[in-house]
Amino acid sequence: MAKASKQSGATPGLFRKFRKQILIGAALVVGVGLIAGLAWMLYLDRIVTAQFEGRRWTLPAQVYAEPTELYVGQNFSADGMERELRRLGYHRVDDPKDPGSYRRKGARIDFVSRRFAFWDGAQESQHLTVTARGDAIDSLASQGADVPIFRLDPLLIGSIFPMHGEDRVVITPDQVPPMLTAALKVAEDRKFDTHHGVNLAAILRAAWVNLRAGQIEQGGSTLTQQLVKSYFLDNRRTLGRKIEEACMAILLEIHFDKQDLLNAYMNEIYLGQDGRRAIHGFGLASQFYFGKPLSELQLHEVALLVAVVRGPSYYDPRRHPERARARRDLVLKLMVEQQVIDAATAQQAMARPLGTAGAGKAAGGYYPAFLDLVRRTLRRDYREEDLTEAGLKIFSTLNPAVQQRAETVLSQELDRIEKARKKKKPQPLEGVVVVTAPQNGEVIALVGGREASFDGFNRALDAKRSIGSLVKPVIYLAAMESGRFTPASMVEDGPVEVKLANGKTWQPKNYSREFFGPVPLVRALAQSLNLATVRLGLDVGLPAVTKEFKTLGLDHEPPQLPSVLLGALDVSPLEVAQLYNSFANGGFNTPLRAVRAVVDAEGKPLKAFGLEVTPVATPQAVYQVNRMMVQVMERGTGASARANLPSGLVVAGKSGTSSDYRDSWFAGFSGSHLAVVWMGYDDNSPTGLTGSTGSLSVWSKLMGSIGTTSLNAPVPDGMQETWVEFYTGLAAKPGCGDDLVTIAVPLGTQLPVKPGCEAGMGTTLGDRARELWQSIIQR
Amino acid sequence: MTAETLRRPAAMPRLSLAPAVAVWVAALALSACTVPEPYRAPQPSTPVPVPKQPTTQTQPAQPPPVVEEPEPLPAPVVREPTLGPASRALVGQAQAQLASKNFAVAASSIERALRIEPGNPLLWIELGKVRQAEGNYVQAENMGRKAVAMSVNAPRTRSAAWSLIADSYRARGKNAEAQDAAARAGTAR
Repeated sequence: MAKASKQSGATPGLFRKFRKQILIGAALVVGVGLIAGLAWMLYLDRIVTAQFEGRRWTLPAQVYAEPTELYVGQNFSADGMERELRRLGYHRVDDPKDPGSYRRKGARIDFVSRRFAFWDGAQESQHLTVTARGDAIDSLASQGADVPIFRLDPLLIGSIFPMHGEDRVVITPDQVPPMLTAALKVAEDRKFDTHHGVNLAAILRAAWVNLRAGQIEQGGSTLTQQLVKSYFLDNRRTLGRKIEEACMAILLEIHFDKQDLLNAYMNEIYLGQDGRRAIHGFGLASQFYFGKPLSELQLHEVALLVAVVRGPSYYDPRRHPERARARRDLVLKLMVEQQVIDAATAQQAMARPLGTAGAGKAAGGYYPAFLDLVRRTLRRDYREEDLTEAGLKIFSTLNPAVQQRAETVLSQELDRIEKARKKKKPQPLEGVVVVTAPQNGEVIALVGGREASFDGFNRALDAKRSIGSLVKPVIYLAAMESGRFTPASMVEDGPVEVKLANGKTWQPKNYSREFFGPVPLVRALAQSLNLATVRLGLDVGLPAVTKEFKTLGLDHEPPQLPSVLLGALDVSPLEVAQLYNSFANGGFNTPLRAVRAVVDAEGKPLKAFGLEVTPVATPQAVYQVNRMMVQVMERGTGASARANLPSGLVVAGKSGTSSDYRDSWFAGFSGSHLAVVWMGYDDNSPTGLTGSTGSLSVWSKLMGSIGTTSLNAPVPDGMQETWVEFYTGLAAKPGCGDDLVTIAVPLGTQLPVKPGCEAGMGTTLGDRARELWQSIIQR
Repeated sequence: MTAETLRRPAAMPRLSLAPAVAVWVAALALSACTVPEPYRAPQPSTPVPVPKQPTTQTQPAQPPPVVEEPEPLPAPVVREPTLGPASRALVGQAQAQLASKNFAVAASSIERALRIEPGNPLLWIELGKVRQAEGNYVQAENMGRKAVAMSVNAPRTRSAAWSLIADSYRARGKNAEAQDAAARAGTAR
């Protein structure tokens, strides 16, 4: 104490003594400080103006699903039609006047479509009336006049965003509902129109409110400060940062007008997370949460988005609906207090549910495996930056309904299989589904793993796995094309030994370890007999077989090894789909496509991926093999599918199992869909599943629930269908012969007839007569 | 292919063909039973489908009948495809787009129709014409071949498909092939 007083007594003396120096020093410090401050402000000013003016938002390419076509006869019940509109974010009203609204009265639906710029032309908004009868559209009209066909605006399914994960749909001020601006100001920054970047009163008031409430209820940051934070700064909360933020906010306000800042805010602000994808801006948030454009949002939806601004994770309406709802209602209450809306309107809005579209299902759906295929397709023609920044619009081939069904069935079946197991594996059983429309090669669904929304290893494209017996139809096709075999040809299913080039002997086995003796080809394929198939393949010749793979659409020819005949061939599920698509398409190869067209940010078409077909096998040979693959489903390894398929549906397919049950495959098709399913472990360990006990259930449940149509290709010229016995291959007919199956053979083929069935069986005379008849009607 | 016209061959062969017809009717009478029904999936009531004739199922075994019942001729019914209303509208649209040399857009319109009726050879022919007009002769030919494969028992459609193929050959200077295709278009008519 004494010491201190002594010191304090001494200080005035010192001060007096060095007054001049101290004052000069102080002035210097202040001066330097001022200059440094000024320099810092100038530096900030440079950052603010340069970045704000120079920055265009990078616009990730937007990817659309295939649009739904409406026409008389299209498969839509009234319920189905309403579901479709709701999936696209249309809302029900009493009197539809605005785009995106509809009215339903029984089987009649009136709606106002949204304007949409398709790549081949714009479709203006229209008032349309659809009536359904049963499961089909019965009439389609616009203001009393019949409309033959109408394309609904397609669902936005995602975007190709850059590595840092920022995704957005940029909006212009005219797309912003006025209510959103009002609600945003009320909830976040009431003095936005008048302050100069910071609002001291608001900071103090927020501090007081939060202190009393014990939690963060109000923020003191202006919209401008929030914008600065999101734009220029990281998330650290230090006093220095706050000061920097305030200064930059003031500078921004000096340079730019309020409208620019508000628009920037609305496009910049972070509003949610979807896996690796960060949802930025109200434009994308509206799609992400409600599945419709921002301009169509109603009051309760606008209020919810504003509620989410405060904490996209804390107020996530999907994960914390009650919290989000409370905050939404608070926003509505504040709007009443500030006289933006009246109390009755607010009450009505509060009574509404949150209205968010289900994550991963409707609009929020995220299909990383499919988008990956889209990106790889486009990487051939565009630079990565073009895709992630240039605002391209991409019209894809995805059918969201089939995609959703494929995801659901796959995960259900994988769960079921794993639950039935006694010994649990430490790793999850994985699966892939690829669905195409065989006639045009469009990939309409692609699931890359059981967690379909997980953006990682894309098994559908990158898992090259042994395909086992899926190779067999290719061998049988090569056999049919040689002209030396028919489906009734007999082949010996007995021990086979092949001397390999390395001196070893290859001794393949049947799945059941048995020998079946002489069997007709139709049975050998239906029951997937290995030994009969190996003999057939060796008889046809390895070069002819391996060449066939390349011809059908595999991008490389397999090595000419006997083991290829049993599927020792590593192929991805998408490549299998390409291979089988040639069968499903009657011997025509069509390159599989995930993209129809690309337009630039202004809507100018850049590229169309047109439909191309190339004949790769004779329709006759393919028809014979396809008929045999129908027998796979009727009485072979695919027979258990029947229980899951609609009665009378004709489908063709083939199972595949790799050695030691490492891979379970099923590939097959109807008249309108081709589906390939794979199951296995990522580390290639055995699954214990065959193609029939694993993938087939996914395949059949999927095919049984997507409204697919029967395989109904006409019998090609020069072919006829005939009955043979499944076990003997002898020609027979109903009432004479056992286990008859229908096969296709060239016209005039003389098949050995089952003894006792000769009467009336295909005589030369009869065939001649038929040929004569054919030649007469063709004249 | 919901809307199809179904018609029998217009007239039976005339008297000049009488001897041939006689042989042929007799022969057909013999062979009629060997021609199986068009393929139908078995009913799902039986989990393992074993196609059996329901009529013979309950009857005792019979010796094969000595005299076969004459059945109607295995008449390949002529089935010329037609376009549904939606496809017709789209094809009309495509033809207008083609007239203004807007090939990609015209093709897109036909592709829309093909998604509705993928099995209709008329649409493949239309798409082939668009490819031909834009100078993609190989695809024009391939579309024609797809249409040929699909137009079984539809001679008029098949003829149109062969004409398209002939045009595509001619445009490539393959005159021999073009003549051959044109001949097929002629006989198929």
